[in-house]
Amino acid sequence: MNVNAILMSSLFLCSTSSALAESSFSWHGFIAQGVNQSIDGDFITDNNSVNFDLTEIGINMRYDINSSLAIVGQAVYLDGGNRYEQGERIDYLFVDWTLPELGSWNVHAHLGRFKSPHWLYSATRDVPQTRSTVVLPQSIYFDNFRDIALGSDGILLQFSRPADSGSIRFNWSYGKAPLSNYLTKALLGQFTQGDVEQDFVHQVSVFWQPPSLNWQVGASWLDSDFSYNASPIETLVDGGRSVQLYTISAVYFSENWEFTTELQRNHKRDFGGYSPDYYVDQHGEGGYGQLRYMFNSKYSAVLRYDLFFADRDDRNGNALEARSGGVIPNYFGFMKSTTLGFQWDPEPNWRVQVEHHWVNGAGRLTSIPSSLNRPNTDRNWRMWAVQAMYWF
Amino acid sequence: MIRFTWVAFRKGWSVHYLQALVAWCLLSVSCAASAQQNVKVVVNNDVNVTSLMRTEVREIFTARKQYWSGGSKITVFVLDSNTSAHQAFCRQVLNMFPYQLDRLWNQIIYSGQGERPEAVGSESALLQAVASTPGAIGYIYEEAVSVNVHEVVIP
Repeated sequence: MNVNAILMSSLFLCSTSSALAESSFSWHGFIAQGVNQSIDGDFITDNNSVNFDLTEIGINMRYDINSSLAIVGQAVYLDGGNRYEQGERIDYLFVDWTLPELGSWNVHAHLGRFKSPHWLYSATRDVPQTRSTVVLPQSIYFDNFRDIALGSDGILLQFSRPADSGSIRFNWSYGKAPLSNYLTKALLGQFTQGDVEQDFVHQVSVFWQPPSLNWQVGASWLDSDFSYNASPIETLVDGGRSVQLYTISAVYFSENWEFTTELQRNHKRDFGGYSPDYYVDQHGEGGYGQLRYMFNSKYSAVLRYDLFFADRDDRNGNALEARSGGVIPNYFGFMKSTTLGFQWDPEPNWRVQVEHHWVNGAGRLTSIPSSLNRPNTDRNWRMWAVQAMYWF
Repeated sequence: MIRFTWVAFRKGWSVHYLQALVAWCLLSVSCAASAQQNVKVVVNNDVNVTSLMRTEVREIFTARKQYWSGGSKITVFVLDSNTSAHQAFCRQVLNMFPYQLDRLWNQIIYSGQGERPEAVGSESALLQAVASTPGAIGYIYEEAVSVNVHEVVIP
């Protein structure tokens, strides 16, 4: 299902709705601009340059056709340096259908390009003022995969049961996301001529909050297959990847501080691509712990430690280096980041976010070294960012 | 001598600390009880509802329930987020910290899932807004229920 099909079906629903008298339209947006520097690394930009490749502009809208049907969408323009493709895109565009209650369960179906609700920041990673930091923990929210992790074209079902004894939310989704040329090259190398396609992504998640609402726990599962269709004029051959992700999360809210953690284990199988016999079966893992302290309603500070291992049986990356014949340095097999950030809300709807990341390893970078692409990232590197944002 | 003084000081401090703690607890309980007692959730008279479960109130103020059971749109009015009345309402009725509510609103609005409640500067302005908007809901602490508005009981 592409965006045009979603739009056409949305317009059809608009034109055939018999309850237009109840319709309502609302829209919101945000604009954020930052300055940043990656030092001894090329996570956001190259050559240690101080630059302004940190722009996010978005407009979203909701049109309620009646009390059970709405059309929802968001268009954005992004410039995130090397992290993802620069330019505009439709982040989501779906029909939000409120189904009749199932006992004490509220049920929503999202049809079209829906947003993923399966991780803590997955549904709002596109919105600057809802993130804890400009750059989210890369173990879970790898920016290179932003567009395919944000949502999919397909169906999402949400079941929630709010009760005085505690609230439970259950999400199920099935779909696929289009992959850009940019992402294909980021995954397989700059000189790739073929196309990577996501065959499907199947996800389930559950979140629970006790009556006190001061903590929340969650768990999710993802299963996805990708295919690589090689071009006849290149040395790569057809191949694919199968990946499963298992994630657990917890959040504790207090008067002046909150603690957030997500832990993830992945199982990845790559076959073909580099050669017909190429096969790698890996179990990776990662996660982060994040503490935010709120001095008052205007100022807060965040401290986070984030950890990622591409292969839990090769935590120092030596096997990766040996397998690549020394082309990929061992520190591309892991990434350990410490982040310190400050948030200042000078006025309602305005925020300034300042942060510094100290990083050991390069396991979550867009540029993968190859015989044709030498890495620009050292074993130890840093980055800082200052971003001002306004929302309406 | 020094040790004796220090122990005496610590004992004295402990007693004062305990007294202060007990006083603070009593004060908190009485404040919470009185605030709980004083808060009135009010709706426009065209809303045919006289009582709401606490969970339903939370669903409405977090923009998760957006239509009354009859199908009419709910318009939510709140006091400015920096007012003590709004902060008390968050804690005592919604059972969450004000920043949790702010964050929920941001998540819901910027996922296209609903509309932010309309914030007004005073209780009289809030009452007026609820009275003049069909399907509206809000809350008051000090003001008395006025024309075209009725209170909803939270058991």
